Amino acid sequence: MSYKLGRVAVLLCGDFRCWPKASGYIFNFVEHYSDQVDYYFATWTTTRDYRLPELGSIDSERAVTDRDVTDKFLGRNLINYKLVDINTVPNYHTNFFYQAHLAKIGNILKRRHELINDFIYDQVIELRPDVYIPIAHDSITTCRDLEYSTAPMYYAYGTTRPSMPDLYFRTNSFTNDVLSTRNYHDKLNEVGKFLDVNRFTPGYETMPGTYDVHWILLDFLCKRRMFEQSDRKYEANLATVIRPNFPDDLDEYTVEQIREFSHEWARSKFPGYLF
Amino acid sequence: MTLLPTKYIITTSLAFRNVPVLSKRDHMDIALLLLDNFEVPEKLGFSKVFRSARSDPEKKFADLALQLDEYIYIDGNTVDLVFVAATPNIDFNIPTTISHDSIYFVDKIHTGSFICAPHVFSMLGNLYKVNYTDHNPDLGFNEPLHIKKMFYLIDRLGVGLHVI
Repeated sequence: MSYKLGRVAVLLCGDFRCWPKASGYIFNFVEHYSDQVDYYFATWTTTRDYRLPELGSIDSERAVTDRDVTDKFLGRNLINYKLVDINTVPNYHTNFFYQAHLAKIGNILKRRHELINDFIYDQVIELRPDVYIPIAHDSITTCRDLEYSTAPMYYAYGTTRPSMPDLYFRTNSFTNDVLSTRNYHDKLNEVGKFLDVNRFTPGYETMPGTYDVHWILLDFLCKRRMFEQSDRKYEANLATVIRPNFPDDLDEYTVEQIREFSHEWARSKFPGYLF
Repeated sequence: MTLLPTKYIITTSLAFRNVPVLSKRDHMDIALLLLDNFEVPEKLGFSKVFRSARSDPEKKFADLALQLDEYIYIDGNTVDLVFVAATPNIDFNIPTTISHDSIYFVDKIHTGSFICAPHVFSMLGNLYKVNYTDHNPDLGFNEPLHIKKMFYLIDRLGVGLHVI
């Protein structure tokens, strides 16, 4: 029997990409842990399968429409959504802050709904719309102020250094409000110590002092003195981005097989990819 | 007393030239957030003045923080600094250097007027959600609860605290 988290807000913030394929897994995961789920969606007006300014644009860009977003929410509470033109946002240093910008938009939509209706969500889950996240446990514990719970991501460029998965966060409502300010970390010039764009090539083992979005995130969480909920290491065995080559029935595959799909896709996109 | 003469803002912006973030522009965009309903003289140089009709001080903070974030992230405007005025008679004596991750109390602390960057106000503005009493004993000082919560969060979130 699962422990229910109470009223939960799910903020889907990020590039649209494989949302139609990922939506079923995300609904399953979230609704396993709560009976009262409100959804918010913040994404760009266009999408592509890979977007790193440092590496240039790869893949064909396609438009995202209102209907693309609302289609999958039949019978569910999609409270609000916003499509943002990426050309209108500030020129951030790294890809990480574009994602963080959408997290801010999602957070604003959630706060507006809370304030107008005079309630506070028990838990808030912020995740990207293109993520595969299978259920790992029957029960999870509620996060308190400045606690967060995350899910392990498959990390293509090695795992030998401290890092922070950036695909999935569960917090309480106030902590999400704090987490959503991480885009400002760029303006504080905190990113300079991580920025070394020339050394970021696919397959290259990044070193301390080298550009890495997961270091930036870890730095932010340490700066705000947030701590990971410690009673259970992870509430999912895996969180990974669904690429276009992934099969539809991911639950039938092992973690290792899913990682291999991810490698396969990366090899087809980047000639220098070594894994 | 004039709240903030226009010439003061010009002087202030010159003082900030050595701060990397602000040196890109010749002036700063400053938003004024009013914690009480009082009149503000026009042409003070503020980019935007925010008010809230809510009576609960904690909800008023949240309302102002939401308005500020919508102004920046939904409407696409720029705000470099936020001046928060609790009373009409405040002199915002700004320091010549400023950290964007700090909060600067002006006048006397207990009036609750301060200067900070917008992301700091965004964090503090949602203090009505914080479970304060569970984690903190009452220290016995007489400030209203939202001021106590604010000081708790300033410390807890690692925000720098200055009195000017």
